[in-house]
Amino acid sequence: MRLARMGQSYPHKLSFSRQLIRALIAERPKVRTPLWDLDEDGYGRAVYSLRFGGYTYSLVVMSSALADDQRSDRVIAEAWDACFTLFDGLPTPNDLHRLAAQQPLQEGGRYSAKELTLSRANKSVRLFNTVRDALAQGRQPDPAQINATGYLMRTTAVYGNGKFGLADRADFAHRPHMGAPFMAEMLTVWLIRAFTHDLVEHCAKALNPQAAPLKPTLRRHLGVGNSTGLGMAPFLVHHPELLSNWVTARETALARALAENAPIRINLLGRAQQHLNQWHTEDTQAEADIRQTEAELKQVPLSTAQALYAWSQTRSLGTQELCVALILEGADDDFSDLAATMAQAAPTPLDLTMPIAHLLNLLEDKMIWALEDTAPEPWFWYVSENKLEPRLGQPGIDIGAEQEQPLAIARDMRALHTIARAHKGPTCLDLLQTHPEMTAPLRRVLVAATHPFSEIQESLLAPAMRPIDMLRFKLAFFGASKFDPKSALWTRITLFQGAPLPRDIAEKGQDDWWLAKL
Amino acid sequence: MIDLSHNETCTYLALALEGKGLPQGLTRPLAIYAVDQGLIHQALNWDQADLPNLIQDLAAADAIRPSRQSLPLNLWQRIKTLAAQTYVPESETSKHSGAGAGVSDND
Repeated sequence: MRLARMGQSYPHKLSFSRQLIRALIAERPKVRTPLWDLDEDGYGRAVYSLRFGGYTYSLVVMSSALADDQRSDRVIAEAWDACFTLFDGLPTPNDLHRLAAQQPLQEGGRYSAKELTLSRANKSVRLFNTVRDALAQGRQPDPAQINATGYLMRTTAVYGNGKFGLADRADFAHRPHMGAPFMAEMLTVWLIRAFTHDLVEHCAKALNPQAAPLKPTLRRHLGVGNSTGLGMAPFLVHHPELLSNWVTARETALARALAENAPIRINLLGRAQQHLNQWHTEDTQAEADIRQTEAELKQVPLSTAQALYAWSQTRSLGTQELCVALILEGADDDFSDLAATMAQAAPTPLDLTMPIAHLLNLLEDKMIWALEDTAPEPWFWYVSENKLEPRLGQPGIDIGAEQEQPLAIARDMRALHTIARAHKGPTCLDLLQTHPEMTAPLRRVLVAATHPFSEIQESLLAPAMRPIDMLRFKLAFFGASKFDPKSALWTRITLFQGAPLPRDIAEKGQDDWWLAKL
Repeated sequence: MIDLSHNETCTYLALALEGKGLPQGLTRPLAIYAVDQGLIHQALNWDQADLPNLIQDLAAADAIRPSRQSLPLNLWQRIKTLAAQTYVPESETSKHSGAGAGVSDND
């Protein structure tokens, strides 16, 4: 697995937002709004609630005024347009009071086991005002403007798994529908989307009680934006089993779809072509890649999955990755059994009885990419004291090389190989007794022995390394689309664009929203 | 006392152990072991000489279902202070070129 391919990822049938929508469709819960206490400017509190898998979950919304000069998507921002928590159950007035007190404290706030996630978001001011004003004038907003931005609000991180005192994932992962990765986070974002739609209509009605409601097709095309920075990249390195499980599930699904060899569905191909046509970014390289895939797709042989796959292998990486997603989408198989394998089971045990000769064999087999990597490494990853934001620096230019984060996997593997070759003792236990710093590298080798896709097989410190390649890969597994890189360090994306709305879920909505088009 | 999730307790304890100079690659598993075995106080006194025995303990330890922690505030403060030694001080260069997104995003 290499960064160049990861950086061309597309959302697919096993993406986590797709898994959430299928789980919702299986139950068709009704989303209620037990609290809607917003003033004419849209500031105040709201609660969205649904019964899902036998449990009640509620999105608690706190919306407040924010000066334009305060509006930043960085985690280092001091304030936000809105703050959201996914609450376990239905919050009491005391819970709301407690959450309202914590929200202004930002990263200093403390949350409890009753809260599963925390997220903050800012309005896309330009589109929000455009939509509000159009509705207030009794007309629909221009679809081209809806498509150009794609969302009314943009979140930054959606925190979970115990951050700031939130519930640990282990506390609820056993519940129905919550076992797949990031389900609580996905549910949070899907409910935030519903709030943004209701908010813009609320603000339009405050201007004009006769304001038009937002047309369902436009509403459906408005997802939730997200600004994603460097934090996602270390996650992939720190969770090698999880990374492997995701890719293994997708590769297994591809093998099954190729065996099924269904005819290419013209409507899906057409949708992909329209999606590409409607997707633009100011990033020169990304725009060129999209246009190349758009052009290549016009030559797709209209036959079967196997023929499409074979054809794609002679085309660009973007086209190859899109075709994999297209093949999965066209298969009758829903891969629901594979979805269940994408979470991480117990961590790989640290087998210290393993003979050194066996370790050397594993290193020279599974980690050969690292042993042969001689590229210079002009970067280091670090954590800033400013809200613990992950950052990237260059030795000699930036301070902090002494506090380098442990992401030099290739370097670590070479060190372990050198130490193991020189080691005279019989087992890994002896080796770690004299080199305890090699514990994590040894564990990675053990993971790689049983997890074929556990490693990004190139240095994350190499001169040409682009963090956005890792971000796009992870975001595509979330189900993100419309990648809009702003530099090599961060990207904007859209989640749930085209997805069923709460009203669709309650009625006849289907999981038929891969690569939305308007 | 402060109520903490299991994950944040392990995360900050791992950073604290790193801040004390224990090897990076070992601090996360050591922190989980310490939290799950009720050894947080002791962990803050671990040093290099303890590592050979701790590595054996780690390999032998059974997985335990993670549980939330309730720690005295001064202990939590001590852990966070040690953890802070792994952070890099803020600077204008770092703020503007070390990570993405602008400082103002009004679009």
